[in-house]
Amino acid sequence: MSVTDLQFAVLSSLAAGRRHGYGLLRDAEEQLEKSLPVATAYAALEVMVSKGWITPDGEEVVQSRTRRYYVLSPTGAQTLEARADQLESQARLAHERLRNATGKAATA
Amino acid sequence: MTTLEQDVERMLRWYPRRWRQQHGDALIGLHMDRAEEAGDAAKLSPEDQAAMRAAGLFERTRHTLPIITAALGTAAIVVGYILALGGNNAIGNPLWLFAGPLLLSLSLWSLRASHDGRWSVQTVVPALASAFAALALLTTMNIAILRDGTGIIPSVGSLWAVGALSAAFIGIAVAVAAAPSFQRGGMSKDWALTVGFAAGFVGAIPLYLGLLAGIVAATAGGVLLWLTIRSARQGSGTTLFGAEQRELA
Repeated sequence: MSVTDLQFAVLSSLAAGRRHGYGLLRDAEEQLEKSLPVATAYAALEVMVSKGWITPDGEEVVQSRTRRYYVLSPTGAQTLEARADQLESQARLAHERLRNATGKAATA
Repeated sequence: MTTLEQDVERMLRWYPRRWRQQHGDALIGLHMDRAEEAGDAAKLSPEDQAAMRAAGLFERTRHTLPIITAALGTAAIVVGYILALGGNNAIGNPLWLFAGPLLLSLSLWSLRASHDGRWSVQTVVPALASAFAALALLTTMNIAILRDGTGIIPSVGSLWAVGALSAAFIGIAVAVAAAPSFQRGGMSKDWALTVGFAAGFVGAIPLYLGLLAGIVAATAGGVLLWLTIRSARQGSGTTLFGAEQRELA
């Protein structure tokens, strides 16, 4: 199952607990180190809701602004875990290859 | 109401009414939170406007585009086939050999985009590749038909040569479209291109068999139309159910 960088960042953010949409957007921007248009981020949240990875968990009105909260679903947690494992093994492989290449260069 | 709120409300008109009712307040809230943190509550940025236009247009066409293209594609195949059978090859053949399959291809990939919730590189590239592959296949097929003057069914003598050529076109298109995905799955570049080409080349065979009979192509179009309508119903149902849940919460 493909997980985009933005989706991964949102799942990771929700692994820490219930958050509202703007909190998720800010955390995702920090993880990805880039600014995201609000409508794009909101569309990504709706896709994740339709996939069953995250679930809307009520709304709050703060200073006449509606804040929608989300929580991670069990399916979302599994998806996050699987993708994190995949990225971890890819990173490990890349480090190993870099070390091997450095070793070969030193012996050459 | 601030200028920013007015801007967002104006841009929300790009979205369908039902979507606005369910998500409009939350989206306005997100923009207001961002403006407050940035200390700039003046106006909506051009990037945010473009994102709202794109997302709104997508929502407006999300369920209708697959249905309309499937319906038009099926109609083009049926009408074109009947016209070709009646001897009107000039209009009939382009309709059922070109317009129909291209519209069905567009329907198929817009259905995928509808499920994914967005058009992405993974959707657009295979859509373009399959459209070009269909064009390559059908062009060579049509040339064979015209050359042999066999009516709407080409002779077996023509098929082996033009068939192999057009299947090779499809193989190349599929290899280019699918190789990045195979590579992400851990396959080497050489193997990804080889497997993609073989899949496209061999996969062209059932396409040939289907295109030899307008009835089969029309049936495929009918099935696709049914799938797109079912998908639209499920999509609307999910959204409504989601709204009910939120209200209860």
